[in-house]
Amino acid sequence: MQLTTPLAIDAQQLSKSFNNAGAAESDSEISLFKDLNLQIHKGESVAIIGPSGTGKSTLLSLLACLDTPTSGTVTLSGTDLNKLDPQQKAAWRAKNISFVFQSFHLLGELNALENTQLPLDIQGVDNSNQQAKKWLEAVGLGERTQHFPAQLSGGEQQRVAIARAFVTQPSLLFADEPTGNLDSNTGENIIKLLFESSAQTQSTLVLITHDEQLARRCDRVFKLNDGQLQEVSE
Amino acid sequence: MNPVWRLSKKQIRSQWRKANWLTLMLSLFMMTTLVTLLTTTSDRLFKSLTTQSADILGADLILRSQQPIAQQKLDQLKALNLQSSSVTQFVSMAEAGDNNVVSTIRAVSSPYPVRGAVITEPKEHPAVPAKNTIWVDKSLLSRLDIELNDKLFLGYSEFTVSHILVESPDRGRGFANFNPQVIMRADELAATGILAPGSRANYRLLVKGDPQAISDLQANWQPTLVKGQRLVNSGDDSQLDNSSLADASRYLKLSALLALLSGAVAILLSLQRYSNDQRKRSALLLSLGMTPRQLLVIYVAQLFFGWLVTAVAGTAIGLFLHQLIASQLGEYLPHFSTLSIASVVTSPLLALSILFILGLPTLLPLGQVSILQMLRNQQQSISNKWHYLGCAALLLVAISWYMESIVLAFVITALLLLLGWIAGFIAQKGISLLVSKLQGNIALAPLLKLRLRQQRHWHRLQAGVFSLLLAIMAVLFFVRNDLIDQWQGQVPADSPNHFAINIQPWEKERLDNWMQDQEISAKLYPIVRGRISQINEQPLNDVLTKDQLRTHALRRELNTTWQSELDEQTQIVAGNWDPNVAGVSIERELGEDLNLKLGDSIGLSVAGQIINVPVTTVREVDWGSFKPNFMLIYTPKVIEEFPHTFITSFKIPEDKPKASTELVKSFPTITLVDIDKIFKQAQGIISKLADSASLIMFLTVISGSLMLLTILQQELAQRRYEGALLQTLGASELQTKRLDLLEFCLLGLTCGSIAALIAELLLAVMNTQFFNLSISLHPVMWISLPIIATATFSGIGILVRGKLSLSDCYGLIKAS
Repeated sequence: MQLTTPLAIDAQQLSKSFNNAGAAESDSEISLFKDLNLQIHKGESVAIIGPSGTGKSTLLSLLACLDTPTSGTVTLSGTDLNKLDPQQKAAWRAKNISFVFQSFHLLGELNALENTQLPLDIQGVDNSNQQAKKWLEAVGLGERTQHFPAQLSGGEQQRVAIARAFVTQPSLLFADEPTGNLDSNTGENIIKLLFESSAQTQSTLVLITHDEQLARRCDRVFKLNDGQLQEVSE
Repeated sequence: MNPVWRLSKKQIRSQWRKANWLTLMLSLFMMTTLVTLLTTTSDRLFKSLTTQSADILGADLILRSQQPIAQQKLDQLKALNLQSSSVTQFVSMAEAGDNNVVSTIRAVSSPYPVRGAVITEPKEHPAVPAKNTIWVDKSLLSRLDIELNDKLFLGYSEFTVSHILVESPDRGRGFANFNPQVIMRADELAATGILAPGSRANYRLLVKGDPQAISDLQANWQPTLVKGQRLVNSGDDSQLDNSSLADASRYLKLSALLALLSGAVAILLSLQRYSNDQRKRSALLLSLGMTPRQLLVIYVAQLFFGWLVTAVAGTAIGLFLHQLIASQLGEYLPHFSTLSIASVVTSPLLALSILFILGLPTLLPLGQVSILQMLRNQQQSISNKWHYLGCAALLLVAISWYMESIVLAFVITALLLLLGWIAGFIAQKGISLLVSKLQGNIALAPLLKLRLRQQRHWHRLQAGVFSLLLAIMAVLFFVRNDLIDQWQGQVPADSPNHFAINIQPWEKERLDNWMQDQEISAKLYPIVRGRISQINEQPLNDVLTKDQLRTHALRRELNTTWQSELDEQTQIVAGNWDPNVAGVSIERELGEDLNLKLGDSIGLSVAGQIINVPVTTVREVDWGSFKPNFMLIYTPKVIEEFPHTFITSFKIPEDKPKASTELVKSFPTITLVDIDKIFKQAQGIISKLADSASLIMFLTVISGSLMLLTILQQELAQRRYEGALLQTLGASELQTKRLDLLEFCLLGLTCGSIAALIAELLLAVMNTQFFNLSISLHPVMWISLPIIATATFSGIGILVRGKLSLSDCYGLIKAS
């Protein structure tokens, strides 16, 4: 990826600590990371790996501006979201950020089509139905739009989740262990779909995973350890 | 201590911090409170009015008569050596200074009563009032503004109030009960001049004796009874007519059933949630070596302890509320019976059985939780359809036991379920319709549509129960207002506001003059009391059907009159009035009921004679005119010779407030009835009854709201998860909050509107079928019910929902 392209994510001096209620005063704060820096360029794919409990998901929620850092700043495509009011922030996120989760998180009472159009409905987009249909076709579920999550296999559910993630044509996609609940074959297909769709929409992809092999498919790989990110060279 | 007991002790203590357990306890508490209140109140009300023990009746056997009782009967008692007492009861005026009060007076012979005792203040009193003294209710003193040992007039005689009546048996029946009571000596009655031949009074002979003698006497007297006489035995309460009482009792039981059903739903839902909560804990305890049986013991102990706490608190509060209602109703009940233990323990026992009927099937499967599933953190459905069918059947048995009828319990439960289902169905359709109208108009509409789809089952349940409860509450509230408003609205401005009755013939001329002096226009009508005993000179039994014989006018003495000319406004439907031809004019409805045509003759029994004259006209009678109205009006000379009194109605203008006092002073034997006062009294009674009914309904609505709360809590986790997902996908916190609020508002609006519709329909049916009122619309209800329902739903909903900040969202999703 060319370093001249503008930054999609610019995290500067990021720190996050939690109050440890009940601990002695000197240990009353647990610091998850301190002065962490990360720059990701537009269109780039980045994997973050690391052992359990190092705070990968917390980092993801900070980078996606779901959570606010104790100190430091996160700028997404030149915008410091934490300076916006909640409404503006929500609107910006709805337009630009999408997620793919490990446990799919589809709403059980809604069918595939309705689940897919959910982000568009949140934004109040008019033709949400057609766009959602288009994306379900793109992920190979054109025939199963009316099926409910319980009637779909794990792989199919994750495809619906991917369609839901791309239906807004986000500039940033966060995937948190997207294959964690799938067998290796299905996982492989899902990853393929994820990368293809990401390339098609020119989204920036941030992938959180345990799987080093999967991580190596990304342009760059970072390891989170002891509150610091280290880039892993090939 | 046994380790199982130690563990259950710890568990019991720790559960009180858990929301699910608290909701369960709250539902149980509300149910116990309400059912205690309803059971004790209905039981006591029923007993108060139906118990006729000797102590309450004042005798073992009573001969009631509308005519003076023949001396022969008294002689017979003397011969049989049975103790007896004669009572003459009538309504007249008590007068002191400028005040006069319509009172119910008992003139009694010594000893009085023959059973039970009159309790007075001061306590010591002779067998009957001493010469020139009377005993009166305390309320009479305050209304006449006099004190003990002051004097008052009954008719022409003056008496000293020597004692206050605290309690007395033999108060008589009906509305005369509501008047202040006076007891006087029988031998001083004649001097008052109140009663003369033809005056209206009830005569009673109280008899005391051993059961055999009483039973023999009853058998001996029964065939000798004439019309208007009845024997009442203190040991036999089968003759009581308690249809209105049965209605009141049914109303209370219906409320109790509503409370039981909504309580059972709330209990079942909270038990289910609680049991789901306990799965991991149970699996852990099982994995550590506890047997399923020990686990069951722990939960049974916990349920039992929970029941104990709520039973004590619920029964106490229920009894407190009962006392509150009892203090309102007590003054209208002559003998408010004491609280029975059975009625107090019914509610907690019912709660215990419902708790275990619903609790055991829900908690039993906890002993079968698989440890492997706990380790894998898998959810497993432990609900079983058969469990719930069994629960429902047992619940119905428990409710039947309470209602004392399987059919009634089943029919009412089915009816409520059906009505609730219909209301829920309409509500759901209504909400969908509203949302489709909103589509394209507000940004949240598509999300709202999805939300409604998700919550549809719960919406139906909530809307069904809540609409029904709200409608019933509205009906209670508005029925009272309708009754009072329409009664008052029916009275034209120049209507008479006083009735004067018991006017003796020798006072007629003087009264006419007095009225003229006072510039009050009043027409005096003679009254001859008689009973219809023949039609076309045949006994009634021979010419009338069974249904016709039940006609109310045939079962009592009628006030009849004679006139040479009918009043101007009389509407004659058939025939011509000719005062020179002996005949009778009958009221249209009576004619229809008895199938009488012009020319048919009616036989009226008066003082032992039967007067037969043909029907010459049929009239319409406006019973609401506040003028003397008569079923039968005779032409002159037919009944003139019989003993009679006069009646009149007139309006005392507001600028002559003293006129009524002066009238009573000048004519002490006349009974003056102030219609305004009667209105106020009726209003007071209706208000108090309706207040009590509303309190009960209000509590039922609270228990319904509690069920609403349980359902909202049931879906809370799902709702929070959904909110978190929406926020992660780009919705703002405000947006998700608005979505919830919009959902609750829609639910409230729809429920309120449906409740208003149901209430309007019920009111229309009740007003036309039961109260003979016209149908009126209640626009206030159309606005207030939706507002109340919306406020309730959004209030409870927002309270339960809590806050969900963006930073919590991702963690919540990851944890799900």
